[in-house]
Amino acid sequence: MGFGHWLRENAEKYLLEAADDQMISQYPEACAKPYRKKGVIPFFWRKIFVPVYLIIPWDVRRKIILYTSYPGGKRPRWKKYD
Amino acid sequence: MAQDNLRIVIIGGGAGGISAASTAKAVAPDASITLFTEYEDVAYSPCGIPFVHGREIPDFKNLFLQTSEHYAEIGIDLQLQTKVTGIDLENRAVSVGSEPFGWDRLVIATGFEYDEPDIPGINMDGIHYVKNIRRAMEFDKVLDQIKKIVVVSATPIGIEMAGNLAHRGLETHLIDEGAWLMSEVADPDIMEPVRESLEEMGAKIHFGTGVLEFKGSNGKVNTVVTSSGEIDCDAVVVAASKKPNNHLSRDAGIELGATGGIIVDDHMRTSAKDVFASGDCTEIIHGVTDIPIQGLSGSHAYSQGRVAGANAAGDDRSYDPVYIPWGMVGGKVQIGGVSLGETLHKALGIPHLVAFATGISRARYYPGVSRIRVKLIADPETHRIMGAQMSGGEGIKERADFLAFVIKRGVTLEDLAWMENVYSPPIGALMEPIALAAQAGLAKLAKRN
Repeated sequence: MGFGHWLRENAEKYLLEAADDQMISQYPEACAKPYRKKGVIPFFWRKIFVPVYLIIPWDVRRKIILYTSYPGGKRPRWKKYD
Repeated sequence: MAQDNLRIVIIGGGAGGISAASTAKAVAPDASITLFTEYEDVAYSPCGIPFVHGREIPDFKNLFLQTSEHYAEIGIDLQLQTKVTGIDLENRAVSVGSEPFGWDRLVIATGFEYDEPDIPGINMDGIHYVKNIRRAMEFDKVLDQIKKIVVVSATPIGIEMAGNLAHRGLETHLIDEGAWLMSEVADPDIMEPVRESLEEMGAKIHFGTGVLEFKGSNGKVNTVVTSSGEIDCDAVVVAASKKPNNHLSRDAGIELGATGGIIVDDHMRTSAKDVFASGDCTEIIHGVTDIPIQGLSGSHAYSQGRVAGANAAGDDRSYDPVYIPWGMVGGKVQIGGVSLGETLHKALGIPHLVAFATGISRARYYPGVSRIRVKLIADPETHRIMGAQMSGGEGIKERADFLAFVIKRGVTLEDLAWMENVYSPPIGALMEPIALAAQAGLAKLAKRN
């Protein structure tokens, strides 16, 4: 697994967890307490990566995501509707 | 421009592969087209499997869309039960057994495989994955002889299986680590009616529950050990997430992206010359976020296969970024949406405004009327629609299709709030639920300002 793949897989998991927590407080009647694994690695992602990620503005963050998505940061050609 | 004596090889017989083969044949009738699949069948709908188990569809035969003979008649050489073991880019050949088989253009449509959970006992007998129709036929006979079944993971296929197995009369347990059903893609308020419906059908739902171990006797599963206790069972369906099946591509040196899918451009070209790819083995650009994503639906694989097949045959077709209209039936409730829901907008940290309303599907006095919850997600600055999620009794699919087009064309909350809509008592209400949600969004914005 390459760095980009590893980063994306973990980022997705823990960012989704953080979003789930917000949704649980917003819709408590439709949610249960989720099952979460504990440990040092989850602690790092939950307490360090997620807060840092969320303070970076979305436009900057999108550029980082795109850069880490491809080998050498080179995006293939796709139509853009903007 | 079509090339004389063009040899096109396709690896994979799912929606991406079979549509690539048919389209290539239509574009270049004189080309030699060979499709390799390791399975016994092509051209069937795996998405229909849960509904045969649930006896909503009477027979697996109904899921076949074309016969193998049909493809032979139109000049496609189908090589069933034939595994491709390697791709040689330099010599333009695939390895079939120990023999090389040459190509001028190659389409990779190797699909997905399940992300097998790392749980003790996962390889026991009685643990089933929903994918191949022949295995499903065998499993259906097992279902005739058992009483209790556990479905692991409330993914879309897990929910369809749980609903259908409960409908069949089995004691069905659905286990998921999340706080609500389909928590990786859908929002809790949208999924709540599905939970209620599944429970009404008799399914037992265990949220926030991790699977710790599968236990059994004589190699056959009979207990699922979870973080909330043990559940006895006669069989287990694992509905884990899909991941791209890209061993061949990786070994060949074809570039893969951060999702693990093959990187393709809008012509479905890979990093290797004259090699195209389509379906679940690829990653595709999301129209709203611009980010590559992977693991879409059969309809996406089919469309991508058409583009890949046409281009492999010498045409010049492009595929658009995706907005992903989706829909399904969970229990007896229709749910669906387009692009990202509220949860995923929060996860990515995209600035967004959420607007929702509950309307009705027909005139309120007309028999069969059902409630429709529509949730729109819009850009708070431009008011452009970025996503939607819905639940209801009918009409969700059509609204999701419409909203996908709306997002692609940059439609705003204002446009939807003042849209015109069909009013006819048996099929449409006076006030369209989408317009009601957009009006609620504008009211929310007005309060903020």
